[in-house]
Amino acid sequence: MPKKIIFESAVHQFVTATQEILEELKAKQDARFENWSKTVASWKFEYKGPKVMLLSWSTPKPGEKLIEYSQAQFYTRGDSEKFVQKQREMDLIGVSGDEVGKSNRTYFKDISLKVLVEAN
Amino acid sequence: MFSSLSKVNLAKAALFKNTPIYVQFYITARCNLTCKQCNIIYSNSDVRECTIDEIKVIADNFAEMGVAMVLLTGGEPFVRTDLPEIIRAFESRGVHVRMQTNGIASEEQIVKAIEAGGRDISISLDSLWPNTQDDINGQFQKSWHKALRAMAYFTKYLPQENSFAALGCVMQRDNIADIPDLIKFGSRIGWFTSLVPIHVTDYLHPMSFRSFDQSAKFVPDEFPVVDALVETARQMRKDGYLLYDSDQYLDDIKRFVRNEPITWRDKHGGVCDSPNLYFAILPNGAFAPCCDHRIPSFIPTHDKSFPEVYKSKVFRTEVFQKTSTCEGCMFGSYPEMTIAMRFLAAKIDRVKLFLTSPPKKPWPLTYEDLIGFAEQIRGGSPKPLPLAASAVAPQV
Repeated sequence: MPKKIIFESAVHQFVTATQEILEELKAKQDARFENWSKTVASWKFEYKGPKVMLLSWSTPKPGEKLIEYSQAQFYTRGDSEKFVQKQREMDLIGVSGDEVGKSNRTYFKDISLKVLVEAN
Repeated sequence: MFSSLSKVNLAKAALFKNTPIYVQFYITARCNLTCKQCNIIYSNSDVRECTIDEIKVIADNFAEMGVAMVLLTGGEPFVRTDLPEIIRAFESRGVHVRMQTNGIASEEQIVKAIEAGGRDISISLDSLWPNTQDDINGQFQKSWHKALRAMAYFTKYLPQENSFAALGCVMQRDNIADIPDLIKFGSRIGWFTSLVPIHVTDYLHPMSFRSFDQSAKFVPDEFPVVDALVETARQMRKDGYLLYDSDQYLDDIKRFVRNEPITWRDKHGGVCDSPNLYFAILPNGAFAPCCDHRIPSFIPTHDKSFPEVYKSKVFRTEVFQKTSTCEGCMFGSYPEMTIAMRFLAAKIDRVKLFLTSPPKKPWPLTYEDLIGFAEQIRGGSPKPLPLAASAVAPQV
């Protein structure tokens, strides 16, 4: 079976957002860094349907969480006038930042933080 | 093949090591395959794609900065309907374009890309065995055949002079026994082969290009197999086969699979040459040090101020904070650029390779020719088995 592209994308965005959380904890010498890192190291992701994944972990004790990520936005095209127009309507074009990327990062960081708090 | 401007910039880079000669531009994250070894289509999925107007500003900036070559990659660059316009934007400003593709492109798309100025192509091919390739590509049927068809089109439409064609091969457990035949095949048709060992990471250290699949890692019992392949490849290059990789790079492959320190960054204090010699651009136009890392700030390469920002100390410091903590990669082009610019023997080899003895190109070749060569090289031998499934390396 070919890999599920949106699911794999969500996994990557989720763990990247998590890395940011861990880096922030490490920088602050927060005691939670060690335990949370162990939890992340034990993560397993499973596809459960369109924009739904099951995240399970074994540390500090086994647990799981069904994650729905319908608000994440992937693969925003820009290669034809139709898509450029769509980007314009969403006010995405410009050099001040990438709102799609930023909102995705915030979205996954928020979910990850909840999962880590629940697991620990 | 390179414009006069590109040649001047290459010479400046060789002398001063502060001209960004090579940029990888991830023009899209979309792809029509899901290759085992590739994670970039997922990691770059979170950002929007640049528009053609923004890409034209990037091309203006590159011309001003002296970028010699831009690699248009993805995802799959041919899924962008405006690829010919993108190629033209760079080529018309004297920036050499290399296209990297999985080969799923129609004859019409290939013709348009070449008409737009594309003279340099790299096609991903990991095996001469169709089923092995299809499996690596995510079990997409006929992907191997489609790649060969695209190669035939490129040999039909690319000029024999002033063009370059290469096979990009990821060395992994599934195909390691197939690689010598692949190099023979490439050489038979006038295409270089370039090897990249598979890169694997874990959830605690996500990197944009590296797979999370721990079962894809070479395990210690397999290191001698990797060593033997590297030595075979090296000998083949000495015997005249078209292998692009330098000795230093090949030696570092052995170290890399063992998770030992690599050496190609040694002449620069153990840090790579990003952003001085190379860097990457995300689909949304943001600067990235390479295909694996991003920096916290959003630095738009499609802003007219980018050439100035690129020189600024604040920017340099932020990039260095990332590159100085990186354990290193073996992503082909970055190491080879550093090696060619910093190691004299490799520099002489490169000059000899391209100036004194350019490879013969027996073009055009038909799809049937290519199938015939592949069958001939495989001979009657049975399909090589992938390395035995071993114990999965634990996370972290």
